[in-house]
This record gives sequence, structure tokens and C-alpha cells, in this order.
Amino acid sequence: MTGQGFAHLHVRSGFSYGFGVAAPAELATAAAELGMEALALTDRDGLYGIPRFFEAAAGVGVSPVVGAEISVAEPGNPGGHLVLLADGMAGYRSLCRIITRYRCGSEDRRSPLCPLPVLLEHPEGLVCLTGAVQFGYVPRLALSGREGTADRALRELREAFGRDLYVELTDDRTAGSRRRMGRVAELARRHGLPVLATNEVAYLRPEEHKLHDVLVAASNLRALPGPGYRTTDQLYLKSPEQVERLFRDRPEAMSNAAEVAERCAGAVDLTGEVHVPSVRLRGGETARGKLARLALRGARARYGHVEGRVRARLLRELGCIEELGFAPYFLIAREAAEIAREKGVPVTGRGSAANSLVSYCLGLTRPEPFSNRLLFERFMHEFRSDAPDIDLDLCSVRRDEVRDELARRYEGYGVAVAATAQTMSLRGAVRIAARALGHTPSEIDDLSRHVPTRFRDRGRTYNPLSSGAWEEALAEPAMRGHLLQDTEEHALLLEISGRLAGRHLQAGTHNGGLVFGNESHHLSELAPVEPTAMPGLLRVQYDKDDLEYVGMPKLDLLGLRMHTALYEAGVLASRRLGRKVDPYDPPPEDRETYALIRTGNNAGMFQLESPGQMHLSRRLEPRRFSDLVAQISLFRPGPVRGDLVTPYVLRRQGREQYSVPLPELGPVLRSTYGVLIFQEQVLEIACVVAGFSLAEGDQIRRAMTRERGPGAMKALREEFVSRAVARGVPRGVAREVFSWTEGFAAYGFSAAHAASFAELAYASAYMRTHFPAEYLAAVLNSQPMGFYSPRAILNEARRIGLSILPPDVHLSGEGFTAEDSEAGAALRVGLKYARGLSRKALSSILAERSKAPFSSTLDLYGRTEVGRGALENLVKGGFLDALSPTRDAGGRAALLAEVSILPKKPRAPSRRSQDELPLPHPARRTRNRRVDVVELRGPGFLRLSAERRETMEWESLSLNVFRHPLSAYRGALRGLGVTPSREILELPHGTRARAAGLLESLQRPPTKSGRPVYFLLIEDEAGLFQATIFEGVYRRDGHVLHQRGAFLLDGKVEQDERRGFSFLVERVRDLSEGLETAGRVPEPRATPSSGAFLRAKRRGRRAG
Amino acid sequence: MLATVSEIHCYPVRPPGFEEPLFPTAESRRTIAEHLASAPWLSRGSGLPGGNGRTARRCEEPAHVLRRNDGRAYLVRRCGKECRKGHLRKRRVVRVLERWREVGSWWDAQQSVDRLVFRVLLAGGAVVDLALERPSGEWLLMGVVD
Repeated sequence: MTGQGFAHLHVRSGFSYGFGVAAPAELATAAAELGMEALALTDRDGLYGIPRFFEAAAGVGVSPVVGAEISVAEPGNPGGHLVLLADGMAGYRSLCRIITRYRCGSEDRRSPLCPLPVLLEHPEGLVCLTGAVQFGYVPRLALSGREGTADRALRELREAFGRDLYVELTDDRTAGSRRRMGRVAELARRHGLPVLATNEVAYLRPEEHKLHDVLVAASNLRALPGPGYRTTDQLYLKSPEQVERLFRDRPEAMSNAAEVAERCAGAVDLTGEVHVPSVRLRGGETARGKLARLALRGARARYGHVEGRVRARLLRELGCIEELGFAPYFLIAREAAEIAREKGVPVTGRGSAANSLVSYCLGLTRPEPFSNRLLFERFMHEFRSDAPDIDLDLCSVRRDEVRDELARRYEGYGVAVAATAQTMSLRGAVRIAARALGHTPSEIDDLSRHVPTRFRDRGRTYNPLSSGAWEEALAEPAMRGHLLQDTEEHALLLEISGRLAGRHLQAGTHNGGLVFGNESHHLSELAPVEPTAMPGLLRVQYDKDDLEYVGMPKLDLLGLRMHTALYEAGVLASRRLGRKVDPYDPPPEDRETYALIRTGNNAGMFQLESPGQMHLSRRLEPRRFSDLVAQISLFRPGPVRGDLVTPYVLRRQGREQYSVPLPELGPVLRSTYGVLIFQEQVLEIACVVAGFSLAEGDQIRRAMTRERGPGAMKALREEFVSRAVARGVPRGVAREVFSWTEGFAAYGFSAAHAASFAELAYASAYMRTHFPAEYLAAVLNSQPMGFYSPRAILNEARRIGLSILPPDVHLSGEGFTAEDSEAGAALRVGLKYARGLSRKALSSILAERSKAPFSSTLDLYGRTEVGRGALENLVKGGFLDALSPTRDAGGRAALLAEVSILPKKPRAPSRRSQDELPLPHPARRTRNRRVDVVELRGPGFLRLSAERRETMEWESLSLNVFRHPLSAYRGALRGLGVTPSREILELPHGTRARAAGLLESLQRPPTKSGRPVYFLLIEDEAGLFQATIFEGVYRRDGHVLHQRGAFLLDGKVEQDERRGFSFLVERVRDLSEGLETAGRVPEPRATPSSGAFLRAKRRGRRAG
Repeated sequence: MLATVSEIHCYPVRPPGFEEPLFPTAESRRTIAEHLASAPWLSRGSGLPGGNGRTARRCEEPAHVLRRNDGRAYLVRRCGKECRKGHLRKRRVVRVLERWREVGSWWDAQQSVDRLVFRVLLAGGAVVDLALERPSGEWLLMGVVD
């Protein structure tokens, strides 16, 4: 056999962002198929792909070689790359240090360059290759007439790397490649250096060179050809035989490659060790001692005295934490929570950490573990080799303060946030490909609009690697009449984008996922660190899964808008009442709060506001905290698909009896009426039925969750059944119980997580019940958040009896404010809802009006930083009505005429400065561009009609201050036979009805049958209304949903005793079309959204 | 003797008394060609150590490569003034000096290139580039190196 032992040692994957094409797993699989025993991954300036490369290589039996392609630059030289390969852990750490150093020191973080001395400082454990012929650092010098510099570079490299320096030979089979390779080989001969053959792989197969070319061009914001374009398709993963043929005249280059591969393959092992961060301690104190002290103190504060089950459990947990060595991790999490409390930033825990009594006593989590049946073993136990995961939710606006303070305290060990690996959606791929193919920005917008934005959408997968990717996408109703339907005209674009979708695009930042170094290793020795777009914020090159793989615990400090809203609601309520209102300490089991939840009018409530949860609230009728925990857990994809909701509701209502197969299961399942809802219940079942310990039970749960092979599951089943039988359980029953838990485990929900969320859900519901004006004002000020657009929230406020006060430049606050009006509590629209108003301009309005009120638009324009466009929007929004000649909304035309003759202000010097950018518009869902301003500036300044004023407000605020958008069309809608949504809910089964409303969202959740069913949420005057659309109707009329924002729905009412109400849509029409001459409804623009399949537009706008 | 570019430019292009063209007949051209071919100071471009391998004269003419059973290959093409009369010229391919792939401008249907290029030494001493076009399988004479 030829090419014996050869392995590719210079391989770029998709993690060489904007250059490489193939995923590490694809490369590893292909290498195995080509008969290679080893393969290197040497991505550009990073180790991003190493953990998943290791995982994939282990799966296919290929030994991984860790390396990187380092971009080297020297003043006065053309620059190029060198390849470094690690021949052990020392080499891996050197590689991490080098990458960290130059990436953090480079002027341009997107094009980092390594000064040669930095590289020469850390040669330990590294093998150095001089780079591919023509583009490598040394070959480029040698081939560009700088032989002297090349000689000097080789001497310096040899001094640093000694015998571990190899001159890399490559042949890309372009014109002159053999000659160039010959000259580099001659250079090696002159210096007495060994040569080594590679193929500088950039893609998997020859035909993928097009994707490579496109990525290079697009990442440089250029049309094809991109910079350094090479007329070759040879940078693919060639078989050893193919490489051997290229280097037939240089057998030593092949044998050296085999030798280095053998030396480096498998030399780096990133698994098996957990790198627990080190905590700051006072002299003589141990982490274990400090944790025990703090936990006991917390227990005393919560339970009075520590004895009995509290003491026993605390000791058990502390013992386990000590044994696994995670005490420092808990202490750092507590330190983060303490920093938040010191700064007055709301903080709560989430996730399985709430299963721990220690977490509860440290103040990391809120649910009480005993009363909520939370089990420590679900969180951690001695058999778990991976690190526990503590997640803290903080006010999203102030999260960074806490993160930065914690990072400052631990910078000695190294602190950074985790990366994310961003991949291209089909729409993103169209944009990338279109840019490379030379389309103009407006053409790119047209070509990408309505292309399915996500590669995978709620169980539906657009497979980028199959030729059917576009067939499926083009058949979507959203793409009816789309430019790309002309498949002949756009054949190349379709081909390229279809193959690019799903591939790596760039590294992103997980802003809250902190990782730390420790006393043994600085963070930059555990993983490469690089700067982010946020000044001062560093990130490691691994994402959350990679970090778990390499054993680096991550502390999540997550931003939660609900905290922002709750905190502000508390401030507003305290201010109005003159006494402290703490939204985080509501009275327990408040009856009025539960009564409101049961009505299903839950807009604005955390975790309870989705249409499904509203519906469930009406069916479930929660009356206590445990009901909320169950409700939050039930409305999840798994239980919905498994149809656990209906039996739970029926049993809870006493309409269905239940039994358990074994009496031992009674106590475990009593609280959930015999329905398996929580993951913790699996542990308990394994314990009471088969006699497993809780830790063993958790292992079973994890094994079931992670889709082990059939062999492993069979062994697990036999173990479970035999142990259950030994305890006297009939074999058949034991099997039945195992199957039952196995089916559930795949989608079960942690009770601890649900209880943590239920705490916030209850707090938000309490505030919504007792302080609706303050709470809804706070929700409107914390946008974007939750399920609904600001328009829907404002209309909801109107429906529950709150007055909406008009905006006023002298009375409006920065955001919405709660006021007392003649009609009771009221909300007033805030200044930041005016489109295009920058933060600077807003601040200047607030500052100037405190000195003296504005007398005219000219006065405001002269005294503040407001630009002409923003001023026009202030007028249209109604903020300046008091300054008009008529002192009311009717005079806006005159004000607009005044504004139109104002001179433009000179542009601020730096448009890039954050202060200069307009605020993100909080009502970023709605838009109507159909206002003819010219008409408003006509002679005579006629008073504007109410409809006209509303249209202007809609355009400026994306809100309807005066009344609901459909109020003006009430008569016309009645003429069309439209029934208000509230009335439809009461219609008998089988009744045909017509509904009309504005888009809120269109979703496609998983269903029991697996058939696609679409849920359209619209809003009419009466409220929010969910309609069900089946596949056939969606295929026929779906394009209307994607292209319009207000609909007429013809359908049939279904009143099912078990499942309640549903409205099955038979026909969807554009509402404006239906109204014909009656007028055009101000409608929100539909846009694809990550949470929902489609949603009223949320994107922000900038000032014109 | 060395001269600067500006000095060369100062030198009259046509010395007084010389009529154009300098080599009006085939005979006079042959004389100078033989002189250059035998000049010891003149090297073939393809043989220069620092040469970039580019062709001295680039063209893209259809050609035919005839392969005999004995392994010999011939370049057959119409050329010179005889082209119009259908005369063919055949040269034996003595050796393949180099081969490479050219794949480029694939995004432009007019400019798209996908070919395998052979640099060959022909009997008589000429070095030319021959391209096998993909996927048509047609041969092109890409250029004359020297």
C-alpha cells in the first residue's frame, strides 16, 4: 500500500471562519474512510473546533492531532502563516498561550497577527511547519525575492524549535506549483532541514472549492474573486495515495509526515480532568470550610436551627461537594449573587441547582427543597464526572455590571465568557452567497426576504447537505411568487446557498457564560482566549458543549428581562404608594392572584402568558404554588407530544380516576395525579421500585435521556427488572414501569427548574394583579421581552380598565409611566417610543425641560440634540401637540410644516459612537410606511382627522394611543360578518364564524401525531385570540400570513369536552383586501422570529 | 556595458539611414533568428531559474492532439497563412515538462475555466502549453512559452 502512515497535518475546518468549509466531524469521518489513522485539525488562529473534533475522531477511530495555523506578521514583510502542532499537553498549553497572547494583542481582532517573537517564546511541546508553499510565512519570503529574510526566519525558528521544525511542501497543482515547491525544497536543503508533505486542506471534496471561494469573498465583504483568490480545486482531503503521487519524487516528505503524525496523534488528552476554578480566600481558610460555614449560616437563617433532616441533608451535600472538589465553584457563584445584591441587581437561580439545599442556603436559589420534593442527586452526585451547572438570572440591563465586577476580582486566574459557534441559516446563506456573487444590497434584501430563516425550525429540518433543501424551502407558502422561484435564473445562487446553509459562519459570544482559571493553570493555558466586540470582555474559543467536554465548569449569569420589569414595577409601585413594595417577596398563596391566573388573561406574566399557557390556566385552574410548578412543566414539547396535559387536567378536576401499578409509586406520583411530570420522579421510582440509590437513579435517567444504544438500554432494563424482581415486584410490572419511565425521560422537566420559574411567575402575576399600571408600564419599558408586542400589551392595559394618556414632551418620562388620572390608574407613553430619538437627544429633552418648558418646535429644536427627523416623529407621535396653534392633536399639520422648513443640523462627528445611535425602538414589532407626509404640508393646515392622527401615531410610536387599531373599522367589520373573538369563544361546537385581527405570532409546536399544525395568534378589540390552521389551509393561504399583518379568518368552532375550545381556520384572507374601500388597517409587518415561527416585527430602527 | 533606462530612451529608435522595416524579407528574418538561436547569452524563458513560467505568447487556439498506439503524441494544428488553405502542421510531443489544473471564474458563465494544462516540449525545440478543456474534452493551444 502506498502512503503508509501518512496523515494530513495541515487541515482547516469550518472553524477557520470565512475560509474553511467542512465540519471537524466530516473531516474525521472522511479521514477514517480514506484509511488514515490520524488527522490534524489546524484552524486559523484558533482551536475552536478541537473539542468536537476529538469527539468525532474518537467515534470513527482516528487519532486526533491538535494544531493551529498561526497568522504571522513582521514589519516590512508580506506575512503568512506557520503551522504549529502539539505533541503533548505542554504543546497544547503553549498553543493556547500563543493564540491568547497575539489575539488579545492584535489591533484588529478580526484579523489577528502574531509577531514572530511571541511565537518563538513558547516553543515547548510544539512541532512547527513553515507553512504552505506560496502562502506560508517562510515560503512567501523565499518566493518573493526575500531569500535573506527567509534564511533569517528559518534560523530563528530552528533556534526555537530545534529538530521540531519542518519545511512544509505543498502542491496545489496550479501553474508553476512544482517549480515553487522545488525552490522551497532547495531552501530546506540549504538549511539542512527536513521537508514534510501536506495538502493544506480547506474543504472536503474538490467541488466544495466554490463554497471556499464564496466564504473568502463574503467574509472580506467583496464580490468574487476574493482577496488571494486561487484558481484551484485541489485543497481537499486527498487520500494518502493521491498525496503520495504528488510527492513521488520526495519520499522523505511523506515519511516525515507519517513520523510527525505518529508522534502527535493522540498526544493531547482534554478529557478526564475537571478544572475547578480557584476561589479567593482569606489566609488559612479553605474553600470547604468557608462553604460549610456559609451554608450553615444560611440554613440557620432559613430554618431557625439546623437539625434533623436539614442537618443530615446539608452534611450529605457538603460531603459530596467536597469529594468532587466543587466547593470553590459554589463560592464563586455565591460571590456573584452577593455582588448583585450589593449593587441592588435582582438575582435568582434557575435550573437543577435548585435541587441543592446548599444552593438554597447560600441564597443562590429560591424554591425550598423539602416542600418542593427537590432531590440533590438530580443536581450532582458522586457518580457524575461532569461539572455541575449553576445558572443565575439577573436583571438584563445590569447583568454586565455583576459580570464585570466578578471578572475584575478573578482576573489573576483569568476570566472569560464562553463562545458560541454560529451557523448559517438558509436565509443567511442566501445573503452570503448573493454578496459573493456580486448582487447589490437591495437585491440581496429582495432575494433573502421570506427565505426560511432557520435551518431547523421546530422539528422541521431544512437539510443543507441534500439537494432537497431548496425544494422544501421553495414549496413554503412564504416563498410564493419569490424571486428565487426562477430556479434557472438563480441556479448558482440556489446551489451555493443550499450547500452553505448549516455551515459555520463566525464565533459569537455567550455574554453571561463565565469560565475561570485556577491556581494550577491560568485560563489562557486551559483554552485560547480572545477579545470580543465588547471592550474589555474576553471569551474562550470553546462553546458551552466544548467547555463541558474539556471539563471547565461554566457559571451562567443570564440576563432576564422579567427581572428588569419586576424591579421597575416595584420601584414605580413604591413611589406611588409611598411604602416599600418588594415584588420578590409577595404574600404567599394570594387568592386574587390565582383568581386572575385562572381567567387566562395572563398577558405579561412570566411563563404563563403564551396562548397555550393561558388556555391551560383556564383548564387547570391553579390554586397554589405547586399547581404553578406543574403548569409550567406540563406545557413543554415533551408532555404536549406525549399528551400528558389532558389526563393531568381531567384527574385534577376529578373527572378521571387513576391508579398506579405498584403501591410504592403512590407517594411519588400522588402530587401529580399519577402523571409522570418531573425528572426527579424518575429517580424516586428507581429508588422505590428497584432499590437503586438516588444517585444510581439519576444515572438511569441520564442514560435514558442521552439516547444510548439499544445494547446499553437493554442492559439497563435487565438490571432494573432483576433488582425490582428481587424486591418482590412482578417481572411484568417491573418491565412496564421501566418502559414507562424510559418513554418519559426523554422529555421530562426538572422540578427544580420549574419551581424556580414558578417563583417568578407568581411574583409577576401578583404584581400584575395588584399593581397593574406599574407592572404593565414596567413590562412596556423592558421591551423586547415576553410573548407579546407592546401594542398588544398596551391594548391589554386598555381592556383591563387602565387609561392611556397621550404622550407629551413635558409630561412623558423616558419610558412609560404610571399616573393617577380622573379615570383611575393610567399609563402615559414615554419618550423613547418616539422612533429615531437617540439617547443623547432624549437626555437633552429631559434636561432642558427641567430648566424651562419648550415654547415651540423651534425652541425645542434649538435647545436640544433632537434632529429634524426625530422632531418630525415627535410631532407625529403627538408629543408636541401642546405646542401646536390649536393646542391639541388637530394642529399637527401646522407643526409638521414648521419642522419641514427647519435647517438640518450638522451631523455629529462620530456616527459610530453608541451615544449617537438612536435608542432601539421598544415597540419594534409594527410598522406602516404608507403615510404621505406631503399631504400634511398642504396649504391651510387643515385639522387632521382622527384616523389620520392615529395613522401618524402608528407610524411614529408603533402604538395606538387613542384606541385599538380596529376600533375605527368596527362598523365595516360588522358588515363583513366578523364576530369579536370573545364571542367566538362562547359559540357552540360546529358553528362557522369569521374572525379578524392583527398578527401577534404564528407558531408550529410539536404535536402528538407529528403532523404540522399552525397556531395563529391574532389580536382584535376584544382581546387575544388563537386560531388553529392545518397543513392544507396553510399550504393554500399561508402566503397571506407571511406577507400581510392583519387577517380575516373564516373557520369553525370546536368545543371539546377534554381539550376545550379551538377555532379551526378554513380560509385566510388579507383584512385590508376584505375591507376594500373601508380603509387600510395599520398592520404590523410579519417577520420570522427565533421563538415563534412568525411574529409581528420587532427589529429596531434608526433615525433617518 | 550597462545603460540606464533613460539612456536607452534617449537613443534614437531608428538610426539615420535605416529604412523600415528592418527585416523586410523571410531571408533576413531567418538570418537574425539563426543568430539569436545560437547566441550563447540567450536562454529559454522556461529554463530560467527565476522564471515565472508565463507564456511568451498567449493564445487560445483549437488544437488536436493525436495519440498513436506506440505512445507517441503529436500536436496537430492549422497555422500561418496556410490556415486558409487547410494546411496542417504536426509536431511530436517529446516530453511533458509540467502539468497543472486551472479552475477559475466559475461564477461567470462566459469566463468560467476548468482545464488541465500540459506544458510540453515539441520536436524542434518549442515549448507550448496545451489545455484539455473540461467537460468538453477539447484541446486548446494556450500559448507558446519559448
